[in-house]
Parts: sequence; C-alpha cells; structure tokens
Amino acid sequence: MADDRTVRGGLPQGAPSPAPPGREGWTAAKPERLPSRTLVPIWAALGIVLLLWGVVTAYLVAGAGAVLLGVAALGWIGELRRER
Amino acid sequence: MSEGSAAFAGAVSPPAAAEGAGLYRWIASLDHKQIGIMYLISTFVFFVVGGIEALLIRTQLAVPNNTMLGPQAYNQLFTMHGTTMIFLVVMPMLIGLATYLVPLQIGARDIAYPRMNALSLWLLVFGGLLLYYSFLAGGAPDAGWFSYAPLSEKPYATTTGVDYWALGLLATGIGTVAASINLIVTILTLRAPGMSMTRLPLFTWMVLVNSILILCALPVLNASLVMLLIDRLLNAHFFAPQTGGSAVLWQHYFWAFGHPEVYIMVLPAFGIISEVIPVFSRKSIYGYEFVAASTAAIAFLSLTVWAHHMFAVGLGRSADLFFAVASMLIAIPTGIKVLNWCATMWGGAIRLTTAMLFALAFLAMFTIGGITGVSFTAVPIDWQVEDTYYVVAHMHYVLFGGTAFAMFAGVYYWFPKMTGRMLWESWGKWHFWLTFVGFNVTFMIQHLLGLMGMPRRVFTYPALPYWGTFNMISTVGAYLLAFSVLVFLWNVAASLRSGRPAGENPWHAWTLEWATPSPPPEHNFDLVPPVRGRRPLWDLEHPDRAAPARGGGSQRAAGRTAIPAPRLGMLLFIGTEGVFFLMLILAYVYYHAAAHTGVVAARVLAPGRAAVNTLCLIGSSVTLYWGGKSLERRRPAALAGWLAVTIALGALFLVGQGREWLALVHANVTVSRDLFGTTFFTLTGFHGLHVLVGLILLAVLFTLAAVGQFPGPRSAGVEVVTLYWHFVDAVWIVIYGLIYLWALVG
Repeated sequence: MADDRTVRGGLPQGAPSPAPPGREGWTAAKPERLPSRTLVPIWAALGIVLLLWGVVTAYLVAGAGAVLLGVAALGWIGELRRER
Repeated sequence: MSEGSAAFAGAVSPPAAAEGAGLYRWIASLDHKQIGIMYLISTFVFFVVGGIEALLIRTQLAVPNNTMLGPQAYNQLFTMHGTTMIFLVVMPMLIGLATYLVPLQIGARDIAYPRMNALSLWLLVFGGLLLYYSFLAGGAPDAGWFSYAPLSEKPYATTTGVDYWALGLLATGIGTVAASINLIVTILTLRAPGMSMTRLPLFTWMVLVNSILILCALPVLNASLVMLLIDRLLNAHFFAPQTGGSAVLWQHYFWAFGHPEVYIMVLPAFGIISEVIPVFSRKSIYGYEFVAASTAAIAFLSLTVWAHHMFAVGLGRSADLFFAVASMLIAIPTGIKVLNWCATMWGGAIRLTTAMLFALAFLAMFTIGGITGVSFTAVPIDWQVEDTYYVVAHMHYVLFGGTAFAMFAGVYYWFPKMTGRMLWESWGKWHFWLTFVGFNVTFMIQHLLGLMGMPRRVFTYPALPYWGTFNMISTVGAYLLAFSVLVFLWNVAASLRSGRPAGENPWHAWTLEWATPSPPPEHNFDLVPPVRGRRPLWDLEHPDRAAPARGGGSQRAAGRTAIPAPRLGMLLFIGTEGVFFLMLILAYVYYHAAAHTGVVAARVLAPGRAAVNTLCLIGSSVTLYWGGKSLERRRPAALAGWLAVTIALGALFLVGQGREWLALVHANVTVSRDLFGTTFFTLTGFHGLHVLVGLILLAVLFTLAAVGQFPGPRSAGVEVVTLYWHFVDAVWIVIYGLIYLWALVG
C-alpha cells in the first residue's frame, strides 16, 4: 500500500480558482484532490468473492473472506480519514 | 491540434511522475483511465473466451448428427457463452468505456469515488474467475443464461454449476451497481461549470440514463439469485413447483431484470454512435433533445415489457395484449434515434473512417435486429418462433450487430485518445469488412433456420432438407468472424508499436476529452473553461460567434447538483436496496396470498413480542437523530452517547429477532419446511443482516466519536450512516406490517 498521501497533479485544496489572462471564467477542474494508489479495493473485492465462494465450499473460506473484507474496510476508512 | 484544443495549452500541466511502477502501478491504481483500460482488457479476454465457446458450438452444429460434443458439454458451453458475453463482456465493456470517458467528457479530474471504482473492476475480474472455476468444481452451469426454474433447481441441476453461476453473477452484480452509482454521482456533481444537463455529451447522457436503469434492474437479478441460492443450498421452495413454489415467478423476476438488461447493453452503444456520426459527418447531432429524451423513454418502457419474453408461458389474453402493445411502443423512441442519426448524416461531409464504417453498419444491423424484435410482439409469431434459431439470430443482430459494432466504432474513435497512437486505417478496414461479412454470413441464415423450425439449445439435429447446408454456412461465417478478431488484435499490436502519433484531437471533435493530451495526464485537467454549448471545443475555436441558443442552462457553476456526493451516493444505494427488498417482499406477498402461508404465520408468530422489537428499532432511529443534532451543536461527547444508545437498541432488536428465530426452529418452522418458512426467514434474515452491517458502521462511528474525530457541525460519515440506518428501520416497519399485522388479520 502506498505511503505517499500527497495530492496528485493539481491544486491544493481550497486554492482560489485561477483565471490567467485570456482564460477569464476558467475554473479548477473537480475534484481538487485525488487519492493515492492503494490495494484496499482489490483486497475488498477478493474478500467479497471469497465470502461468496465459501458458501459452496467451506465456512473457513467464507470466514477468511469476511476477515479480508473487514481488514480492507478498516483500511478504506483509515485512508478516507487521512485524506480529510 | 484544433484551435479548440490549442486553447487548452497550459491548462493541463505536464504529467507528473506516476507513483509506483510495473504491475503495482496498475493493480493499485485509482485513476479512472487506468481502471477503464483494465475493464476493456479484462472484458476483451472474456470476449475471446466466450468466442471460443461460440466456435465450439458452431463446430458441433456444422453437420447433422454430429458427436464431437455430447449434450452435457454442449449445455455447459451455450450457458457459459451467453453468460460470459452478457455479464462479463457487453455490459462491463460499456461500463469500462464509460469509466474512461465520462470524467473526461464532463471536464472532471476523476470519478466521484475512485476506490469504489477499483472495487467494481476487481469484483468483475474475481466474479468472472469464480464463475469459470465451476469447470474445475464438478461442472459448469448448464441451465442456460437465464437459468429457468425448475431446471436450475437442485433436483435437476445436481452439480454446483448453477451455484457458481449465481455466486459469480452476484459478485459482478454488486460491482455493476457500485459502478453505476459512481457514474451517476460523477455526472451529477463533477461537471464543468455551465455544462447543464441539456449540454451533456450524448455518450455521457446515455451513460447516465443507463446507470439509472441498472440501479432499477440489477437488484431484481440479485434478489432472484439470492432466492435461487437459498432454494438450492437450504432446500427452500421459492421456485420449486413440486413443493408449492412457482417456476413462472422465476421467469417474471428474471425478465423483469432481463429485458431492461437488453437496453442496458444497448443504450451506451447509442451514445457511442451519437458521438461518432456527428464528428465524421462534420455536423452537430440532429435533434439532440429527441435523442436524449427518447433514451429516457426507452429506459422507462423497458421496465414495463418483461413479459413479452413469456408469451409462450400462457399468461392470458389481457396480459399478452398489454405486453405486446408496450413492446411495440419501444420501437418508437428507438426509431426516432435511427432517424436522427440518418438526418445528422444528411448533407454532411461524411468521412468513411473505420469508426464511421462500424457506426454505419451498426445502423443497418441494429435496425434489422430491431425489426425482428418487433415481430415478436405479434404473439402468434412469438409462439411460432419462440426457442428457435430465429430468436438466436434476432438477439445477435441486436447485441453483436448493434452493441459490438458500436463498441468497435468507439474503439477506433477513442483508441488515439487512450494510447496516443492512431489505429491503422487500412487494417481497420480489413477488420471491418471481415466482421461485417462474417457476422451476416453467421447470423442472417439463422433467421431461416428458425423459421424452418430448428430449435435452439439442442446439441445436434437430424439431416433435414437444407438444415445441414445452412448450418455449415453459419459455421463458416463464425470462423470468418473469429478471423476478423485476429485482424483487430494485429492492428492493435501494430498500432501500439508503430502507429502514427495521434495528437490531442485527430478527428477535430468537439467534446472536452479531446482537449487533453493523448493519452491524458493522470489528473486530466487543471483548468476547464465555462461550457457555453454542446460542443465546447467548437465554442472555444469560435469565440466571436454566439453559441447556438441550445442547451439552456446558465453559466453558473451550478450545472452541478446541490446534493453533496456522499449523500447522493447513499441515496442511490438505498434506492437499489429498496428494489432488492421489494422483490423479497413481493415473493412473500405472492405466496402469502396464493399458498395460504397466512395460516402458518398466524399460528406461529407473536406480533406482540415483535412489536417490542419494532419499538427498539424505531427508538434507535430517534436516538441517532439526536446524535446528529448533537454533532450540529458541536457536542461530540453527546454524539458518542447517542451512538452508544442507538447501538444498544439495534443490538436488542437483533437479540429479539434471534430469540424469535430459535423459537420458530424449535417449533419445526424452518426455511425448508414450507413457503412460509422460506419467505419469512429470507426476508427477516436479510433485514437482520442489514441491521448487523448498520451496527458495525455505528460501532465505527462510535469509536471515532469517542476519540474526538467528529468536532462538528457536519460529518459526511455520520450523515450517510444515519441515512442507511433510517432506511433499515423503514424496511422493518414495512416487514412488520406485512408479516405480523397481516398474520393478525389474515
């Protein structure tokens, strides 16, 4: 998982919309902040699919999926908080 | 570079060094463009797999009385072919294209929820792998892509194939719903200033309508899959006629999803055509308003015509009449679109690029598919040709002649933007003509086979007059079609290696995606201009010419909706959950009325105890409301307190429900006992699951509140969880009225 939580490619949050000469009325594109790369979604997806797979194989597989999904969800929430 | 693109010079900063490298850079990406490209690659891989399955089918059918494949293998192949092409290729490929393009077309830097975007992609990939794992787990599904009951029930489909079918589709279905919510929120909240809804590029407009349609239709499928799984895994009775269930109910549910699904697979293709034809005719689209409005009309009507797939069931004359007329009505808005595209070309300076050739072929092929579709609305014709190769031909003219041709038009049109390289036109034209000829040789003749009575889904056929010849022709066409795909792959590889650099706007197009470098930098744009019309780059090129008085809207930044993205996303999610519960509730009502489950309900349920439970849940909504008020008053300690009380009340509800379940099980009322048990435990069980998820979310909020993370006065997290909790409570009130109070009076 990426440690770098910098804002990619653009303006810091809250920066006034610039309007350089000849571009009156132009505004900063949205959203101002873009998140960094992360493996959280792929782990969450794997957790969901393992959870489903466990339904026809073994509860252990479903349990592993639930744990993976839970860990990914916590990571997801943590990243959202750090981005605030 | 066009002048419009030139006006953007300096408005897009040079690409920054991308984080990470190699595989990590892709699998950890949250960039909508990379995710869109991964969607396209994944779905193309599935397309090749589904195509190989089709070739095996056609090879088996090339001659009469063929024994290359046995019936079981053949059943698995046509089931997997249909399932793959619909759920793993057409629908997600269009979503992938939308994921790539929509933010660029509306002047946004990314999609509204980047992580959820990645989640949707990976659910598609893993869900598809789960489906294909069935081959190794005892046998692939073999009940057809619509898995009609009772064939899909345990007594008739004894392997785990149908289970994997349902589970794989559930996984991909969750991803599809998430992707649709994401696209809607993106379009409604991140548009460039001045881009009112009536100035949306038509591709984006159709993606918006399509996403709404998905949110209406996919939960119906998800609920149906859940019920089928409960039947199969817990010996329940939803769709098992031998124990009182209804196989026809499965058909209603499946086609309530399945017919909108046809349009889900076609509407974005209409959007592609609506972008390609104007650009290569050098004219703006004729009748933008009609094209846009007819899309909404198609989406609405598509929700009302599902039973035209069920004329052969014997629904009765009134139902047949209603669904026949409603189905005919859909031809009107669809025909409007075809007329608009033709009128756009009329008098235009048409450039016959490969993209345009595919778009023109789309017009012809889709119209043929549409006309044969209308023929099914004449009920006696439907009875005659139902389940014959006429249906197979019709379906492929819509989905291949329509959507696949449009998709190829889109690939030739946007490939330069995605890669920075032009596809070779000479190879492209080879690809087009091979596809066009191969497709028509394969499928045109299947109309005749159908009219001659050849049934679909039979692994072989007798040597009746012309059947062998016609099938051989169809098979030769299929191999030609497969060869055309190889030519396309060669073109892509050669163009990536040595294609002509594309520049920003090689087609001199007008929408905002052509204002960025090719390929665009990770953040798309730094600055976006105020949008004055439906062709923003044309407007920039002609600043002195007044924009046509079209598209309404003001220049206010508030082309965007006033609802914040988190709230909007949660409201859409709640909408889909509402549809999901509606299907479970309808099943309960259907069986309660038809099979007298009310007698059982009245005997075993205790409405008084359930009323106490209900009070707990309603009380928890009140305490959560007060928690929100505390946050507004910047009293985080009070918020934590109210959250604790809410959690306690929710937990009490779950305990109460658990005790009721135990009592019922002790009284031998289980999910497998009868239709009451089946519907009751499914409905209350899924509601309980939602309460449990709500409690987990509340527990997270409580933890954060306890450590002072919510200074107030607002928090998107608290707001969306509150909305979810109120929804869960509202669903329970409906369930209580429906099950417990109905038991009292019924």
